[in-house]
Amino acid sequence: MLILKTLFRLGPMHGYGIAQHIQQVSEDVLQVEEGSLYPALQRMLIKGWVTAEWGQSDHNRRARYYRLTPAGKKQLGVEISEFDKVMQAITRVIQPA
Amino acid sequence: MEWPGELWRRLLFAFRRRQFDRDLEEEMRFHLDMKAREAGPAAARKVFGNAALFQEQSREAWGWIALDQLFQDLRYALRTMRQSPGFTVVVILTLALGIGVNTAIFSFVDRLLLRPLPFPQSDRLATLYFRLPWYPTPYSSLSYPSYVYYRDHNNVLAGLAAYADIQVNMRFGDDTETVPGEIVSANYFSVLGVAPVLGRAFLADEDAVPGRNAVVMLAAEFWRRRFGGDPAIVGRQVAINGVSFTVVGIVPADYTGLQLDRTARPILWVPTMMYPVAVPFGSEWDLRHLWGDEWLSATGRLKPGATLSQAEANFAQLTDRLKPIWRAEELDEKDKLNGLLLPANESRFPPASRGTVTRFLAMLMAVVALVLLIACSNVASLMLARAVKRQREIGMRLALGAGRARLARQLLTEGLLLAFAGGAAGLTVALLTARSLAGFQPFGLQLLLGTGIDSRVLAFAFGLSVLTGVVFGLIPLRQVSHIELARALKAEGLRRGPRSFGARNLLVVAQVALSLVLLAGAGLFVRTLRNAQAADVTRNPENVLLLKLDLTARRYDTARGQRFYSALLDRLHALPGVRSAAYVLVVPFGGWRGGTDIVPHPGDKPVQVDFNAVSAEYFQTVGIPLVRGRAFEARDREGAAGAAVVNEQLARRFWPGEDPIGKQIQLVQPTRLAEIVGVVRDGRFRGYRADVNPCFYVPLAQRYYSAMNLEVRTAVNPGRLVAAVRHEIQSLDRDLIVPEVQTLRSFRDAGLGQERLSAALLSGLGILATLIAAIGIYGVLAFAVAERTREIGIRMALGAASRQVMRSVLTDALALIGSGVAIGLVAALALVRFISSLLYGVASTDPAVYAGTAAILIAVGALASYPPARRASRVDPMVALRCD
Repeated sequence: MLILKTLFRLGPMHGYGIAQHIQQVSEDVLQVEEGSLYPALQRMLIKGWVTAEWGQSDHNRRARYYRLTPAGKKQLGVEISEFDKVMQAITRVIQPA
Repeated sequence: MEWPGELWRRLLFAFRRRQFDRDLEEEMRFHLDMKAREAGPAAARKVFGNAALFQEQSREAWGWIALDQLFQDLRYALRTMRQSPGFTVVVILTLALGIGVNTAIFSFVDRLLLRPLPFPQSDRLATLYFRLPWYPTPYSSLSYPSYVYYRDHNNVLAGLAAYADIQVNMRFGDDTETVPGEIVSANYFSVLGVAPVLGRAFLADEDAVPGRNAVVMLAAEFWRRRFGGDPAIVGRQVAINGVSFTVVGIVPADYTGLQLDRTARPILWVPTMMYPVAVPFGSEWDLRHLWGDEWLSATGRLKPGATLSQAEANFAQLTDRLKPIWRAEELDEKDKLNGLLLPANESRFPPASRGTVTRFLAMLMAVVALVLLIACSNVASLMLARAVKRQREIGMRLALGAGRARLARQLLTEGLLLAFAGGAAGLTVALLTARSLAGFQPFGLQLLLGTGIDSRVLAFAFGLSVLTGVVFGLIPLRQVSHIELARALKAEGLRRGPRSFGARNLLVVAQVALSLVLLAGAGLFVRTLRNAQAADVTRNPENVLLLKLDLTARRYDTARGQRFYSALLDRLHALPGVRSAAYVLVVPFGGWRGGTDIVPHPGDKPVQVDFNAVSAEYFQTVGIPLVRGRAFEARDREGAAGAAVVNEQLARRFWPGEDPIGKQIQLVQPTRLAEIVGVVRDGRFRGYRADVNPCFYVPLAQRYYSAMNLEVRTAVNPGRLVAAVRHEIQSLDRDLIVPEVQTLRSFRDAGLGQERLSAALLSGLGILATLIAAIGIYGVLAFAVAERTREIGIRMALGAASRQVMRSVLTDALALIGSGVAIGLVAALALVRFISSLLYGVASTDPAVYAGTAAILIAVGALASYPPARRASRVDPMVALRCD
């Protein structure tokens, strides 16, 4: 969901950029091994949620940019609404009565 | 919902995997470089994690790991197969046998019972049958006017087509060939849904006036063979029965017709209204208006929405409305007629034979299923033995970190690979088996059995292979899941606990038991065949040529026919190598008998007895012994006093204790008196199961028939006289069709197809099964002895005599064989109840058969266990104790 959301917000972006963004936005709370991003991106490619193409990065190097597909956008919607449901449930549980 | 796209993407990437790997690597390098620029290379690597692992995971996401592993497994399986070629060959051959015979029998079942006829929506086709209350089997024939009535007045069929088999002479240059064909109504091909591959089908107008439109369609196969597939065939002329016909179309090669009970595929079609040319006697009658001449069959296609029962009700009404017409035509027997519609798929051979055919096929299926069980248990026991041997290897691989699931998958791959190899080899076995079994004509009627391997049969063999492969793969699997690492790795691991050895013993017992069932069945059918052949009254029938002479189509009068018969006999007698020659009306074992009424004593009521017409030398020619009096002679000619020869049964029945010679019999139809001049030995004529009936013979010279069987006893190999006999016939009448010549023995054996097939198949399979069981016994014992080497060594060191050791091994073996035999006997006795109706002259519980079979199996088993027992007795205690 984080990857989809990032791509939704930033538009086409390479793996490094996605990792940077997640790190910044979450203010370093979500610290995972950055490499685990790539198997996840592969799974999304298979599902057809993202497409990938080679482009030029800011530093003039070849980088692979991932772009959200319509199916990906739909999936993002699904995941956000499910996440919201879970969050609301948790909030209700932990709220002081 | 998304998966087709997903599959496509996976596939696409599978073909570009090198590209993919490069992309991923570059992408990750880019990531690391960027990170390193920001935080330094060491920190970058730390934050990024294990790059190799992530690459692996990415690949796995695409599903290539599975593919990789499959290839690895296949390579590994092939390597193991190569390492033990003996094991591989035995397993593949055993499976080939099991799968092959099953596939062969399945191809029969499929062709005869399961597969729909090769016409579009063949389940909508129904064939018209009639049943008479006093006649047990429905028949399908009807007259042309009846057909037209049903065709024009029913409201349930989209079309009703009529057809009949014909045999016609086709002339090619100077050559005349007798070819099979069909005479069909103009709508025949459109009702069936068959489109000509070239030209067109018949037009309604071409089937309107007798003899007017000489048009013909040819079979594609015939067109290719005779005319080289020339597309200019349409419009050409061919000569049929001396009349020139115009070819209008070519019928596709996969057309088989509605009926399978024929000897050859039809190769030409003419419209029904060409009956004056194509049907014998057709030119003398107006078949359009002849209600009594039932020469056609009719099959229709149901209208969309109409059900078979609605159609049948409609046809019942029509049949009732036809009855007054039939009555007016003095066809009184039709008053009680019931019309019924049978699905064409279920009436591709006479419905009367359906029960017999189904029962016989069921027996064959059961037999080959037994064979597959034996093959499976043999392979299973081989796999078990190998699994034990491979335990250390498997333990090693587990220790090195192989996942159990992965190992299981690999073993399954091995099992499947073996099974597929077995299945592929099994197709060859199937082809050969089907071909040789079809040669027996086992169904009591001529059936056109294609013996090719087609997609359905292939699918069956494939399914069977998968099934067996999974089963085999799973056997060593059980062992994998039980392996304890430490034990497997130590030499100790090779010493098995009792469990898998018990499993192997069970498999051997099962093999012995199944072999016994097959062998006992073989014994019963061999006895049946012997008894059936012994019931034949003729002697040395292999030296007698038999051919059917049908003068009917030549339209000789009686005098001319008799002249032809005697002139031919004179010519045949002059041939070197001919001992004697004669004519007979009803050939023994021909499937039918002649019957007629006689009045044995003046004033008695007429009695029906068997009846036959023969020429003078008949009894001598086929070897039926003359018991009293004389056979027919030249003096029993037309105009002389009526003579008759009777069998012993008739003499005993009507003149018990008296000499029948000189007694007079009164024949009822035609009324005449015949004096008994001789008595011959009893014989069965209809078939071996028939009762011996009272029977009398009259001389052919005094009772003319236009169709007789010619029998020629030869002093030399009868095959060498076939051409000469044909030549003599054709030099008397060039236009007479001389059908196939065979020996009396092959004619008789053709009628015993089912018995011969059962005996041959069960014997062959029984012997193979026994061999397999013997190999199994040998394997189990050899293995047990090898495992017990140390124990035996200790016992011998402690003073056991080698004979005692040998005896203990043999006792173990006999215990296995004995329990197998016991179980087999029980199983066989339980199963034979189902085949007792197929046996003849032997009880299904015949003690001799079972005792013999058990003795054979015990002897074979003892023989197979002797080498391992001997090896055990030769164990050198010192070597044994040192061996590990």
